[in-house]
Amino acid sequence: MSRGAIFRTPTALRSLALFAWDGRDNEDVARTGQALTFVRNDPAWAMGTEGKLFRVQEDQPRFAYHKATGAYGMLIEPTAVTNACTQPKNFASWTVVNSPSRVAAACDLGVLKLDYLTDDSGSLQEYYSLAQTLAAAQYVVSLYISRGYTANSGQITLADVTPTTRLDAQINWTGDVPSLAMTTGTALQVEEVPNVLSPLGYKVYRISMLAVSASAGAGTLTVRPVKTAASTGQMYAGGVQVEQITTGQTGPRSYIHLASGVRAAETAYWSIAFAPVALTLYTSFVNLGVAEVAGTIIGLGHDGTGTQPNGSLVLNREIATGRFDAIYKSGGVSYTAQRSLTAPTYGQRVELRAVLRAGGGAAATATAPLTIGVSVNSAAETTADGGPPVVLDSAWGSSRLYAGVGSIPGFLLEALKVFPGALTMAECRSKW
Amino acid sequence: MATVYLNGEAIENYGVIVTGLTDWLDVPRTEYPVVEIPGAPGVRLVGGIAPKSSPRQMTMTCYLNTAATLAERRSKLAALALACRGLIEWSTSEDTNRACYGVLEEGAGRGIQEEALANPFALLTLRFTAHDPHWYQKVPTLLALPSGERVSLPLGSAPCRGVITINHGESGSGTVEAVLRDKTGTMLQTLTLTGVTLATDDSVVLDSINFEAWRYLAATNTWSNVTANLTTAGQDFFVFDPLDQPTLALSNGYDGSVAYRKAEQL
Repeated sequence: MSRGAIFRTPTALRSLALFAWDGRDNEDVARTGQALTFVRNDPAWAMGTEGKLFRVQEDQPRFAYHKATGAYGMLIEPTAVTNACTQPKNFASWTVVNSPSRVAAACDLGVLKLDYLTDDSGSLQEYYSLAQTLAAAQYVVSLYISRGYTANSGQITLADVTPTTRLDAQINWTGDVPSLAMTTGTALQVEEVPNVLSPLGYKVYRISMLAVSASAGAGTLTVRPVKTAASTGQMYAGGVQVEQITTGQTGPRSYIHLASGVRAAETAYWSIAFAPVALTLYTSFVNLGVAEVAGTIIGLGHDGTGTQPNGSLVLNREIATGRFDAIYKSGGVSYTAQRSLTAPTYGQRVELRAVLRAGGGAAATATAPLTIGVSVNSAAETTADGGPPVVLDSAWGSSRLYAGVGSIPGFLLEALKVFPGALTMAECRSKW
Repeated sequence: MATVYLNGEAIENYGVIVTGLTDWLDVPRTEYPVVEIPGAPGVRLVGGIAPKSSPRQMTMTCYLNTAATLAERRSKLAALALACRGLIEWSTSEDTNRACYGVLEEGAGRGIQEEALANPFALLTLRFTAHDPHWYQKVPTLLALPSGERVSLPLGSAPCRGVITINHGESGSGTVEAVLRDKTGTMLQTLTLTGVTLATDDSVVLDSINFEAWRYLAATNTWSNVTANLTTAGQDFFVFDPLDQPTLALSNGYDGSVAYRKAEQL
């Protein structure tokens, strides 16, 4: 079924691939004809090329843009997220302390409008405060900001029930560029939002910070346009997200706009019909939300559960050991090629390639049956071979090609291809 | 060094050296439907008839230089000929982020039949025709359409078509409609769906590329074609023309997004 947005190039007519999907097509049908099934039981939000957030209805894939890499593709976050901030959009319902002033919707960020917050007291801290219900957990706090008063720094804090400050971030300004100075917690990201200017012509940024583990109970979140009581100043702010982290998370996940604060897990898969053959499985994605992804990024012949079935090839990220694996499983035995490397960080483009050859029989062969290749930000590929000779199963473990299985926090899928035979990384990039 | 890419593959990889390329950067010839009125300066554009651009015809000359034998030369040429069958995506090293789409209409060789040693540099002339002469950005432009806002559409130097997604959003109700205006706010076109209402989490896709409209029902997780529900009067699918500096807005509290690929004349 066609549901619009076919920007496909003519390569669709001549594909050499068994499977080929390109995020730039903005399309839920692969170039080779396989239809995408996308599952997410809540609306979600994504960033357009002009840097404004838009809403995507439930069960619809999020085609989105990532400025730093210029990547355009399908955002997949296989784990559900709750925004613990109950008033995420603006500060209209936050508690006002010492009468700061607020210009509502002063900066347009699509469905999100940033407020313009002013502290005009030379003796008191004027700020906004919000009661939070916190679990005994560690949180990532993020918000969108734009130019504050250059000479004076803003501040965001999170205190738990005890009450102990678990996050204390000072927002410094160099011109219209913010930076974070942490008293408590860890700075994660200062990410420029593409092409968005506040009404005064300043750029917009999303900042994110990792808080120290909080105790369960009623906490307090505060946002101050100016940190120092004796100073005055302003700051655009909005889109506050407070999310429990997953292991290894070093960046914020996609913003959740609703006070109800839930975005269900996302799953993407295509039906496949080709039989197991010697092949190359290739994917290109931008790593979002975490320094390392753990679990299966792509699963060919995977049923979408956390257990790898017999007759399936997966590309995994192993968070504990800091490596990528290509694993073919047959008869309860896993044949693995492993490639260790420095973990790709938030916002880096990662390309993975797995070559599966039919080794045949039990005898050792000169060529390893399984090869994995990894390239980060288009750097030279590093490869590793592995596995004893593989006898391919007569059928895949399931008739599906999954993107994102298990507890992977998030990535922007640019391309996914399966070719017959063994192809190089360069061939995988250019061929369809 | 790569010069021209055919479907993303550098043409040099087919064993040729490009020595000349013409007409790839020309402004396409465009015929405007006009009428002259004696006594009035200039001419008038005839309403209701779109200007028509002539095809872009690019000629590429190149040498085949790497074959040791005639059989090898034939093999390389066959690979190139296979790559050039059907519609081709052209891009150049000058800007690999945009592409033109056309067909190979002629591949004339000179000296190809001679043994490689006798004529090591056989000449090949390839003539491509792009019936749509415009260059398109490979990465789509994706814009938010917030509720109640007229969103300005950044365009290239040529008209293009796109796809609008309309969500129920947070406050949508009533008639589902997209409105295209020019820079002065004058309405150019509307796309209105009659008999189609959106419940929470429902959405509609207005596809001006494939001339279709689809509705997604969240309750049943199904899509249905609602093209027939577009009201008929003045309901042509949208063309975004940079001369209009257009804005796009959605009606009645709905929000959504629009995606298109910018087009350039050269």
